[in-house]
Amino acid sequence: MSSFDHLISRIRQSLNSGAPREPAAPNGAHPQPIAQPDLGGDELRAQFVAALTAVGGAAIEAAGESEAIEKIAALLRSRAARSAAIGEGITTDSASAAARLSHEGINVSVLDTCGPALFKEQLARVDAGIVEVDYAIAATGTLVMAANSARPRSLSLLPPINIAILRSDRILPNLAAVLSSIGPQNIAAHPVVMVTGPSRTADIEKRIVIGVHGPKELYVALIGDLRR
Amino acid sequence: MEPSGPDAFYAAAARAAADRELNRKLENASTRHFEHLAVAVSEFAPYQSERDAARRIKEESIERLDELLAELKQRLEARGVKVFFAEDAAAARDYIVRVARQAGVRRVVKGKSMTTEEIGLNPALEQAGIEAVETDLGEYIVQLRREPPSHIITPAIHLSKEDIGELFAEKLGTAYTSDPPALTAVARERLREVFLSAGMGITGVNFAVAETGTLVVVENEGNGRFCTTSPDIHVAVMGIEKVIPRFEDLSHFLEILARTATGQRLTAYTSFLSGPRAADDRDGPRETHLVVLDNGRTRMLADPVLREALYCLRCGACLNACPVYRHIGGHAYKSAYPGPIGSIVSPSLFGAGAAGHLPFASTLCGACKEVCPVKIDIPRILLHLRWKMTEGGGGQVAWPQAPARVRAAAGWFARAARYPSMMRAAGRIGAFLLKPFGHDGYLRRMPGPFAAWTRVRDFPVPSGGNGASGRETK
Repeated sequence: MSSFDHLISRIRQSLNSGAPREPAAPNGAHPQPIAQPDLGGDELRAQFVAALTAVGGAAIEAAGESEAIEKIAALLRSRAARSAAIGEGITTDSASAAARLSHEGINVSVLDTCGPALFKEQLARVDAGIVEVDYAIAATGTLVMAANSARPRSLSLLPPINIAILRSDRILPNLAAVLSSIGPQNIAAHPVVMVTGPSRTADIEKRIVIGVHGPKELYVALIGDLRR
Repeated sequence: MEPSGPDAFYAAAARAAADRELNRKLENASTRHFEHLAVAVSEFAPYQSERDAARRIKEESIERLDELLAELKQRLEARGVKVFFAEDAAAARDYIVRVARQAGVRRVVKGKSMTTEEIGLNPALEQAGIEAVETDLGEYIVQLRREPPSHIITPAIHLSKEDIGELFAEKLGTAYTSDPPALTAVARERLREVFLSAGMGITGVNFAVAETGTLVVVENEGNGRFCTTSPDIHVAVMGIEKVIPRFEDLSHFLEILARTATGQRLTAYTSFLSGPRAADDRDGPRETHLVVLDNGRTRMLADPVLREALYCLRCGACLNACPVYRHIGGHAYKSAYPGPIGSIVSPSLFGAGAAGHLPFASTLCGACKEVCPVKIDIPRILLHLRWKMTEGGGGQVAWPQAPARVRAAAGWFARAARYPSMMRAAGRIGAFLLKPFGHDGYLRRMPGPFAAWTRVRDFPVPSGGNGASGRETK
């Protein structure tokens, strides 16, 4: 018998040795996710910005993509950031965004030409990582990003400044809504990370300090959907 | 860290209880924790109903544990994750050391994991010539001091910022500062290189989703993300009880865990890990291993009262709520799991001889049960274990047992209590007899058959003045 079979048989014995085993809950009998509050786009947006600010992030509001890129360039200049890496967008055209940022004097890394070891080394020297996120949670100020080869997870981890691009129609009311939008299929296919504010600790006398191992600064370029 | 019987515990607890500075630090940290928690709970309307939902899912998970672990294994293996089932701590250690050796790993980075503390992983790695670096700030601090964590969420809760400033100056050669942001910056700078050069990352697991084969790791600093993204090999270690049925179930856990553990709405980072990187991915581990640990947990499962302890999310709130923990801190327990939850799981994990005294280290005040996000009835389990350790279990712990004497004394008390005048007289005689043993108004050490009582308690000296009630505790 393998160690797995041994364990399973110990578990079965243990479960049966106690109180009589209850039949497994029939489908649908388990607790259902809490209901989504019915909020309009503007309310969700306002709630998200307030929650993001409360955890130490900051929102940059823009009417459209090109205004967002301009504001990101201005932000990078004001933070004395000289280099950035940008991941493939979801709806944003990252190639043209990269070109615009280069034009503004930012040294934009090209991510698709190197293997893991070189990638890590390059990214560790970059000032800012820019990535479009899949969803956001209004109630908690959380950003949700699924990673793939063109949108690596380290992009939002290694550079000290993290800039997320978020379309406001991607803001959902709560965690339950985001988990149901991602769904079991997608979560099995890609690593996903949920980010709520810049990296933080309270390990010294329970005092909150921002910027431990992950980004010290988190900005969200929030692109409004004018059709709403 | 493993407990080693009652005597070591008494000695350490007595020392810690007398350490005013330690008491102050613990009291400060607990007060701050409950301030944060109160806000986080009050702004989340469904908090109470979510606790019930989370508990129901844990009940289902444990009830279906065999089936869910089989499903988890199958899903993970389909994506190339190597799943190892370890019967005990030694099997888990040996497996991890073997994986590291075979890959020629020289340096390991670790995310905070109490399960790896439980199995004594770091000493095993060091013995094999592999450097194991703790990367959670609190863990990094206690590792520099070469001591174990004293709290499962806040490992350096027993240290002041000045203690940490002196430690960094001494061990890292940095200029002394007690400024938390400056100290944090030092750790960030030191550990960045370590992350990028490590060959293996080892983390715990907060939830493992059977339906999707997803390992969920929650943390705040980003060190957990580094450990699971940067090194070529990721080893996750979890107890068998971490599996839950469905992906959507996470909605009931992540918020209440963050709110009770740290008073946050959600932790800064929640990673949903799917296994090794794809061929064209630029980061993520080349190899992922999951070690699923029994180490006494199936024994807990077999006991219908103790089974409930397997619902624990390891949020650490019961430690902060416990008056005993708040007085003696985590180190006195000498277990990877101190405080109330530790007192109910340690006897199963480390054996009754080593940890059977811990269920007695409680006032049964119930604060732990009140604060527990999944409402584990810790006082009930403590009583059950006390019974098991003495009469029910045939005296598994070396414990001063005198049930016959206690029954006799209770009988005398019952007889006397029927006559108020006899009670008053007995009270006066008792006070007269006890007076010579008092010191500063307390009875700390009694002779003969009474020694067992004062071994773990200080009694106020009875005044004998007003009935049998004695004087008020100061």
